[in-house]
Amino acid sequence: MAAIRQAMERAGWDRLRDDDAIFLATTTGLLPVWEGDFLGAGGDLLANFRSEPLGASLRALRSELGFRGHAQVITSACAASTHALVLASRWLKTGRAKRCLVGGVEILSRLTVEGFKSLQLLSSETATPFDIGRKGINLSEGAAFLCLERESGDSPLGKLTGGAITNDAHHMTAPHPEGRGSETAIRRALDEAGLRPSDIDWVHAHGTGSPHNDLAEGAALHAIFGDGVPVSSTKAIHGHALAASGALETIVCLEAMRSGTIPSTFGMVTPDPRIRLRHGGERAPRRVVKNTLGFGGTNGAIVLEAVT
Amino acid sequence: MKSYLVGAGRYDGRPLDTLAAQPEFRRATRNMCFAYLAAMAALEFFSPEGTLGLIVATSHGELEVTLSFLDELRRSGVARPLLFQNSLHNAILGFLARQLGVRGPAITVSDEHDSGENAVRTAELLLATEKIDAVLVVGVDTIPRVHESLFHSLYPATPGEGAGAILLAREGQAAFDLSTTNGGPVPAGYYDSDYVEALAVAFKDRATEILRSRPDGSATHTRLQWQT
Repeated sequence: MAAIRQAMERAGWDRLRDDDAIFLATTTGLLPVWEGDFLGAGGDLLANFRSEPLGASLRALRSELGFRGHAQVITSACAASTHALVLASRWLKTGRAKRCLVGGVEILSRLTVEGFKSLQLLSSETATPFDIGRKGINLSEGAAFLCLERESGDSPLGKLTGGAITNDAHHMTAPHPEGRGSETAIRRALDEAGLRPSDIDWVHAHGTGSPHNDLAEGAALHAIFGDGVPVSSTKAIHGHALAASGALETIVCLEAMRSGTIPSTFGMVTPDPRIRLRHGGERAPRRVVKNTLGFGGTNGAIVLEAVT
Repeated sequence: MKSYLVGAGRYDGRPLDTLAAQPEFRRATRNMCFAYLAAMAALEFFSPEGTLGLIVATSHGELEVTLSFLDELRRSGVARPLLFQNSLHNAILGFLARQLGVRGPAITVSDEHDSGENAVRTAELLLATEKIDAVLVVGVDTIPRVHESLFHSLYPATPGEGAGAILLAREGQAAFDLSTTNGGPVPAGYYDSDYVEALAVAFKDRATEILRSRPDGSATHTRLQWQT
């Protein structure tokens, strides 16, 4: 709610109207509310277990916001909030709403932490995306929300001009080794924006620090951008917030466009030579691609442009 | 832009043993098997040359696997990677996308009683805005066989489980539109995402109207207009 209230205040929305829409991304919803009871920490299992459906998060939001309009929960793993942004932009474009509240929320649970550990995806050190010595990801939790409008309104932070959702159809957790689904998503997003790869000033990668993920994503990005467009990941700073990561990192992109600075990939000391990308850049970013990949082969990419 | 029902299928209750004997289904969950069988029936109406989107609607997702994972963690302190992989809420989507070779837009929607309806609305949105030929919508929910009594005590109005699938395209046999209205008695085999199965049955029976009542007192009223 704190993130939502901040976003709405910045947008000048005093409340949500019933002809607005909400698109909420999450991977485990309110699992931490009942997980502890279930694992034997005491508490009221029956009462807390009512939070079990992922839609329970939305139910709570509706109640808190007094909202009765269209709302839905997207659960496409780590690409969920870029999926939510793409769907919201389509909702606006087709006139189904004039305003959409979009975002992601992730609260860490034992299931998530132990699960990622069991897949040997976690690093006990700070993640180093794209580094030759990268050992895995750092999980984090948080919430990030954006207010989207069909009309530009007063002082917009940016424009969402392109987006796409694809699937690898390859494996339940590992991405396609050459990142083919991710490549398709980015190309389609660029197409929708009417831009060529060389028009892009910066790519904010998914860049988790996972040995396989970074390789696959690197292959996709190289196929599109070669070494002409700077690429970086900020996950070493804020961690991987799973379903919230797309929304959170979209806000990072908007801030980078505002400040005119491309953040470098913190923690990367020696770039992996197999990942042939241009790391870091000096140009003030005005056209940015935000890329995400997720378990289940999901991919989501959006194009953001500065408002002139 | 109208969208049209061009195909439908549902899980018909057959035992899953023969499916489970196939290598790619050895580790599949009940949700995945139900969804796959419903999807295959719907896809009989789809040309393999076309581009397909995929929406999975599920309210409880892989709850059974989630509970099994946590049970194991509590008992032995061991986190089993396969259970974790299958516990993910979009695991059904990942499985179906791989089995069916879907590389277009693929999304999991999870909105309790509205899961099926929101999945259909999302499919219509994709048809209106994406370069795809059709969207497969699959609605699936199952009752967890672990802690089944806990589930039933929480959801006494949700005694059912199953899967339905519909294929939507820009032209076809039955145009439809859905609206929300006040509800009536909830069907005997109700489960949260059963709206998709209700549409599948309506397509097969060439029905012109369906009313799907939900435990929250609302209902979805759908009119189907058949093209001659």
